[in-house]
Amino acid sequence: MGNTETVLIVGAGPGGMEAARAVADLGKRAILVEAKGEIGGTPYSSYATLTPDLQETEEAMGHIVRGIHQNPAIDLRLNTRVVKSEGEVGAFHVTLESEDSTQTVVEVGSIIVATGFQHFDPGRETQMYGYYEYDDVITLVDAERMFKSGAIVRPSNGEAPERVAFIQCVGSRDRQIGNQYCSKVCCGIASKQSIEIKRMLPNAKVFIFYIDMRMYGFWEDQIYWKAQEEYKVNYVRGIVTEVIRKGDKLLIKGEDTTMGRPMEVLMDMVILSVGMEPSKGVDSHVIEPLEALLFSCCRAAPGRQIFFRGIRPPRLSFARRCAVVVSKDGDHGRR
Amino acid sequence: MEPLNLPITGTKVETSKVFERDPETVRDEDLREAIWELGREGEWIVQPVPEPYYLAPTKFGRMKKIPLEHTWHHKSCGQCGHIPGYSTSIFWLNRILGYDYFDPRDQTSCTAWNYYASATSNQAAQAAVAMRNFSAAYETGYYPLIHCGTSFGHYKEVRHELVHDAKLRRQVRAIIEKLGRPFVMPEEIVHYSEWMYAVRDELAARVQYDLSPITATVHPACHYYKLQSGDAIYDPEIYGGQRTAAVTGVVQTLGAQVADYSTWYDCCGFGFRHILVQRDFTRSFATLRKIEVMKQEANPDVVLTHDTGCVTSLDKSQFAAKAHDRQVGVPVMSESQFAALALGAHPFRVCQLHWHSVDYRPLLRKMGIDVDRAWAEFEDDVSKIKTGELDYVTWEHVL
Repeated sequence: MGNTETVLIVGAGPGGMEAARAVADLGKRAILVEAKGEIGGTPYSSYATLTPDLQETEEAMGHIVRGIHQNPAIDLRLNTRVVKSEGEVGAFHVTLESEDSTQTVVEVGSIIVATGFQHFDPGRETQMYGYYEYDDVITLVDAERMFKSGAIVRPSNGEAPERVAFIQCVGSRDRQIGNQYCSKVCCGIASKQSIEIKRMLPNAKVFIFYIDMRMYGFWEDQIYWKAQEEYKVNYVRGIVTEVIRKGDKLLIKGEDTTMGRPMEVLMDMVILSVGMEPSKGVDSHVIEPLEALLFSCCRAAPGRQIFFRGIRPPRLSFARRCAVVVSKDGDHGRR
Repeated sequence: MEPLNLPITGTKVETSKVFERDPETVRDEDLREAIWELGREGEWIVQPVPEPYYLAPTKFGRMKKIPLEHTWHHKSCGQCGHIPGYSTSIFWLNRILGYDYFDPRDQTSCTAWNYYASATSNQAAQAAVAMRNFSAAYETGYYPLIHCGTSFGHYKEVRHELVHDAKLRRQVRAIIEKLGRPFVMPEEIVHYSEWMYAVRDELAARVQYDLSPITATVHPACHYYKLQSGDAIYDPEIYGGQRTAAVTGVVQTLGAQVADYSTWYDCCGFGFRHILVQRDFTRSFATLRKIEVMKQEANPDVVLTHDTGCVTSLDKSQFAAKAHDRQVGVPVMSESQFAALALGAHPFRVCQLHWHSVDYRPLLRKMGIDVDRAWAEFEDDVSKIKTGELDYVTWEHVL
């Protein structure tokens, strides 16, 4: 007989926190397990502001984080991993291991996997973007750190850049590296950052090189048109294949696919819009009984972005903005 | 042209960011276990890399076994036809290092040139040629070492197809059995420049000249590292592990300077289809996109590369640009020829630089080689051959 009143949530990023809050609101008990020492996930730790309103991350997420800490129905376990799991829907026996190697077994009726994402490492890109060769090639995450510090500068010399290029779909929509999916948020984040750069450096010229812009939700009006019409950001449909140094500048090479011509343009700074991949935390949790269920869940929704990567085949991708839920009645699906 | 005084930045990256290599993230699957498993199931014979071997780092951290000796030299058709000193230099280096090798006379051309020119052949035929050559190597007891970058890259793609396609394996196996040969897959597919990398320290210990005044630009061959790049050699010390260490690692270890230039990632111009049907494009690309840019940005003494087509295109295209007064005129050769010269090989008897188009004499003089004396010796050989006093130049003449 399992404990159907308790739900285990693995991962305390935005998805896991929201799931825990929802479980608590439904009058159930949530055990929220987080491998790191703090909650909030990648957006809370890495981003200065969030789309689509350019709201400060602390302001947007701070109350959610505090709510988790203060909610008596949420049993938060930091620095903890799932090391063993047995049982079936409605009666899972899950072994948790804390940082000091202490193990505890919890009985839960459902498990929500929300292990989140990590940014793609541009060193694995098939194109030559030079992230590990040139200081002035940075990622969206590096740019957020600069926004947090209050200044956007060329790392090579500390000077304000006059020309900045964003390169979209780095690590996304690329069969060569095995990431066929769209990461969905990078277009919005690049547009957001382009606005922030123009606010900080009104005289800078900012370009966004894209395959096609994928602005989800209401972001098209809130960010995409705003960037172009109010901030004069240049969106160029094209594929950038190389970033190399030319004197003290960066030369980006590729194809302007609107014009159907090769292009070579000098920039002061290049920002790689790195996509998302399963977080390493996915592999660090052992959630074996779930895999068959998760697989059937994904097969039932072909083409939908339900991602999970387990410790053995079938290898699926990871959860983004949603958690995979396995519940007592077998109605496992997306949140 | 007046010498340019350009700063040589070398291969150290300017950033402190470090790429953490992780074999788990390689996009090209590691086929070795599958190859051994197919061997255990009787699908083919796996030829192991002979010991002693060198473990070389690849882009994502997997270590690749590079045989040091007992190598079967899979030569390149264009290499033997246009730049014979290329392969002779490799053999000479093997002999200098005392490594046993085999120079087969019955190797078949890999057909990849036609494949990449979209000209001919089919999947089974190409795979059969690859497996025929592998079986020929196996029968001699020597391990295949591929001289040509295109053969190397092509064979890796063929290997991938054979591992994953049982129907193709059966087709090809039937062909090989009809030839009366064993069906063999080598444990690793190895390029000669990887062997050069593996023995670079041994080579450096035997260098006869001070190479520090020599500046080289390196053209990495596309088919060496752009096909299944997870299998090519990358060294964290060279461009942060973001560009292949083949050639560059050897040249630096020998003591010469390697200079960066902005079109290093571009093709040499050969293009396969282009060299066949749009040769003017090849000439223009090789000289205006590659040689002239190197000249402007690094002013090298020599261009070094590790593939037949690249040496040929970059060297033998320069006459066309010179006729138009463009800024060209940089000698081009393989790193094996450069290393052989550095170790004291004869420029003409061994490296056969008289087959090259661009004037290489200024380079040789800068290296400290008495080029006039070497040429006189070579002319003397030719005179003796003409008079019948000498049949041909032998290894005894050059070791």
